Amino acid sequence: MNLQVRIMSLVVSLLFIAYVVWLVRNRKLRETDSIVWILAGLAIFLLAVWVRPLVLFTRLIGAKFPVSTLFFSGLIFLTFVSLWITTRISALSEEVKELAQKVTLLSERKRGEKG
Amino acid sequence: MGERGPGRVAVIIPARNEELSIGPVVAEVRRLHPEFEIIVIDDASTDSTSDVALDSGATVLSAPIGLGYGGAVHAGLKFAHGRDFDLVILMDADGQHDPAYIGTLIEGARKYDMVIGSRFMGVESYDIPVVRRLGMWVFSGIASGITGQRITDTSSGFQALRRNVLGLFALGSYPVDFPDADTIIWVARHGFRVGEVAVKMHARTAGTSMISGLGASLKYVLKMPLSILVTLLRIPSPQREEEAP
Repeated sequence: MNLQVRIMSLVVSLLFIAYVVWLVRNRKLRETDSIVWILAGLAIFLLAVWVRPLVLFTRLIGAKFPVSTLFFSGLIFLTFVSLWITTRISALSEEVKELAQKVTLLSERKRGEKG
Repeated sequence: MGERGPGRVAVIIPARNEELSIGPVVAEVRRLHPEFEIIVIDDASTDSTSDVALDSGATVLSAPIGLGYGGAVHAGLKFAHGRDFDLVILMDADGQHDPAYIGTLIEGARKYDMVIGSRFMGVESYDIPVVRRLGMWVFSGIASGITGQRITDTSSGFQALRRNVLGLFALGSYPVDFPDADTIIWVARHGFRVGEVAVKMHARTAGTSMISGLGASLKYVLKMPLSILVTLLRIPSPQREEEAP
């Protein structure tokens, strides 16, 4: 990786981490949910500073350029994050359904009780 | 179900925006079976479904948000289970299910724990689009193969459930969108007896189906094989001794 790419990666990762921290600070993202994104930002930062592991991994998987390895890894990471988010949505949908059913059971009305 | 009769019976009717049809349906059930409790689950209707059902003599439960067909039925099953009903009849609010056949379902519950009212067992019913009929045929075949019983109409929402099956669903899970072959297989896997009786079904009298449109049909075709597969992979929940068949 040339110097320009590394500098850009450093800047982007720092901005990204700062944005995540800002979201948590303003209660738009919970601390627990922010961990995965902070770790992603730190990973990009570390790979920009210390290129050796990325180069070794690139050779290992038979890729030509470290940047390709980064894109490939990023894609896999995002795919798993999407799947994880979908499981969270499924869990939340189930919780909302349970709550709505409990409210439904409390709403019982019979003739003469119209209100 | 004892020799003397079915015990306390609840008729559960999920309804969304069925103000034109719910009144006659409830009235007819009341006329034929005045001793039964009719429970209408109003699935967040924007019309006067709940008021019409109430005026017709039903007990009405109103969902604050759309639960979907299965979610509404599940709420009704939880309610009936909590009120210790012995037998539950499930039927639609749109007039498709003829209340005259409730007696046939109850008769079937002498023999089975889950009775499905089938429109394909000889009683003349309304025409069904070919594509939908094909899907029904495939899933019925799968359900028949797995349960070892001849099932002809997995998608029928006209059913009778005895207390043991009611408990299975009320205390466990129930599909949110399209209860179909998966619920039948789930019941059979618990060792409960599943069977069918012939009923008559009409074309809906008013409103639109809670399961309608091309998207819903496509979802049904894609989702059901997966639902059947995971139902087979799940471990049946242990039943209490008194609920065993």
